[in-house]
Amino acid sequence: MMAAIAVIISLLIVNVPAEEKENFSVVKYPFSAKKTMNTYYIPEGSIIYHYNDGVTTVYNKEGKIVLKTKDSETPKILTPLGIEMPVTYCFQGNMERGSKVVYGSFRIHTEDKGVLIDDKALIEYKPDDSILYVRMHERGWKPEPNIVIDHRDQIAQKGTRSFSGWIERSQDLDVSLIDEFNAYWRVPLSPPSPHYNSVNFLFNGIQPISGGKIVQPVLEWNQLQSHRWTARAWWASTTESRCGDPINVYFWDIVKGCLEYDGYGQPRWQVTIWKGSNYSYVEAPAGFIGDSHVDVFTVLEGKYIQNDNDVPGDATFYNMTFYKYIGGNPSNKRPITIIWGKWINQSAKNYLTGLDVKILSQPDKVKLCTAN
Amino acid sequence: MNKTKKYLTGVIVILAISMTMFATYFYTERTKKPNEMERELAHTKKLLEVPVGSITDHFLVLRSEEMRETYYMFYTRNSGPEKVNYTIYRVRGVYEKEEIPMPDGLTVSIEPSEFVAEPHKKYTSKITIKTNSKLESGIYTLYLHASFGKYELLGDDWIRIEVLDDYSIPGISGVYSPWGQLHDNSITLKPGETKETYYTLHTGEGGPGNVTYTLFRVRKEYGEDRLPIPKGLTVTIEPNKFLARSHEDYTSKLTIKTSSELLQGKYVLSFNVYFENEMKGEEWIIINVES
Repeated sequence: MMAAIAVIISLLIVNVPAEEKENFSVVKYPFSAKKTMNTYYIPEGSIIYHYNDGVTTVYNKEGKIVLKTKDSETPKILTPLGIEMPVTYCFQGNMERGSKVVYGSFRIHTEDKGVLIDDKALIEYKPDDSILYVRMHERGWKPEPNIVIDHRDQIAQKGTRSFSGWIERSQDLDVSLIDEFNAYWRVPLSPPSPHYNSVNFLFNGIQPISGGKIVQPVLEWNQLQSHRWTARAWWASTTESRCGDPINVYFWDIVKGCLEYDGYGQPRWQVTIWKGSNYSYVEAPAGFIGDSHVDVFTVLEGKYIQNDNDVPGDATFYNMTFYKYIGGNPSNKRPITIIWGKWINQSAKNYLTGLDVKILSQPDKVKLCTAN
Repeated sequence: MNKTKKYLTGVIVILAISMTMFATYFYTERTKKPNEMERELAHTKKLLEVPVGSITDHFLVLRSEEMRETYYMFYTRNSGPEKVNYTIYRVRGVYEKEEIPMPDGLTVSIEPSEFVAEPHKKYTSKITIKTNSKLESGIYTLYLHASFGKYELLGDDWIRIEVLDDYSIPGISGVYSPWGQLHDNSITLKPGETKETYYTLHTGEGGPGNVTYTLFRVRKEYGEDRLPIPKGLTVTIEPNKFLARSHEDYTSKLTIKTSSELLQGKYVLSFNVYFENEMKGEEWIIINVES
């Protein structure tokens, strides 16, 4: 970076309008969203689009052309990686504290080419989450002239961009029979600098293979905007939910999440989360979820997640045990085989780094990793 | 003597009937799976050919006085030109289609909702959801019905909206996450033999997005050390690259072929699934080659 800046500075030329050549501008200096020396000014939020034929077009946020230039007619500078690049590939950003560069999908509806898409666009956000600039390449681009409306990238469109959903999980799907699932984990580091409304959940859970319902003992961060950790037993469907009373927990406390199937009378799941002798408990309604053909998980879930500052540290579920009850009798239980697979939400990667699911030991130890 | 003959004839008839019933039963059971698989493969083939549509974000979280947008993508494939029509309304839950009244404080619109679509094009409409202070917290489900004139369209879809006051319900955002499964994690075959198995992707609230399957040989399950696939072992999967829409099952066929020269032993394959913007998964399949 220093080398690039040095080269840029060495150009020692004041920001000057580009020369016009047959509707193509000649750009001699790296782009910048600030009117400074040695740079070529483009508006904040511009999209720099590099076409395969060597033309670079800069569009404004609305997709109107700001300028077109031929890379072959621009000077080259040496990047920090020692590669010579046309100056159109450089942006003088002065990365402010709190700004962020991400690689992700971006779409723009342009006045000349319709919708342009790049799944690996470079997007630099300012500290207030507005876009400083976007760099896109034609590689893999497919024109979509008949798209009916402007459909820029959803991340950019959502105003306060955020992710809500399951971020990552270990899973064993369509388990033929399970009556008990226990997991221990330590309360991880709190999110380093969370937004006021972001919420995180860590839990071991069971749902039917058809989805739509879940039973889970949950470690919650910032439930009710408490800005702290709590533990609570839950069951939920898409139409209703219930939870036990919360218990307060703190960093490095050990919690134990238990799911036990009471097969007598009206069969139901009992959900408990323990910290020492304190617990939160709830019973799911009879027949809510059965004990056969279910999916089994450990999960990190987030709501209103904007970036790595909103998610907790790594969480390791350990000493996990899985049983079936012979004749429905909990005192006559047998271990069952669980084989964890990994699942990471690819949309969450637009907001978060460092995501990984590590199967440390089958099936008793799994680590759900974040950047923290 | 006649009595004994009659008795024996009776026994033989009963035995013959029983054997026929048994044979029919076993034949039915044995052929049930292949028939089911053929149906699943045929449905997958259809999904890759007919016009399809899908919402991009199926689960949205809103507080009072907020607005969120999601999109509906429509792929005409080789059908059209024809008029497209979208309607969107509230239902009780995912997979339901019966309209129920919208609650006070929740509004939804889709734009454009009517247009003429040409073949081999993709169209995007914007769905806008707004809440105001009258709306009670909870989870609301909206159903989008899409029609494409005389053409068959697999395009109906659902959006779930979690409206928060202060509480947030854990777990529920992921209960329709996409998932997939190999039908067999272990296959045993002789050198020179060919066997088939399947992988089914249940897209749930995933999609629209491109799906890619790749296979590698690895040293062991959960291991990352790649090894070359030996000469004499061929594994193919079809289809292995396609556009998937939400709430569908896509089944692909894996064909495992061995030559008579293939060394006996255990071969571990890593089966990788990439579902654009949705999931990245890995499963393992053990190929046991033994005489």
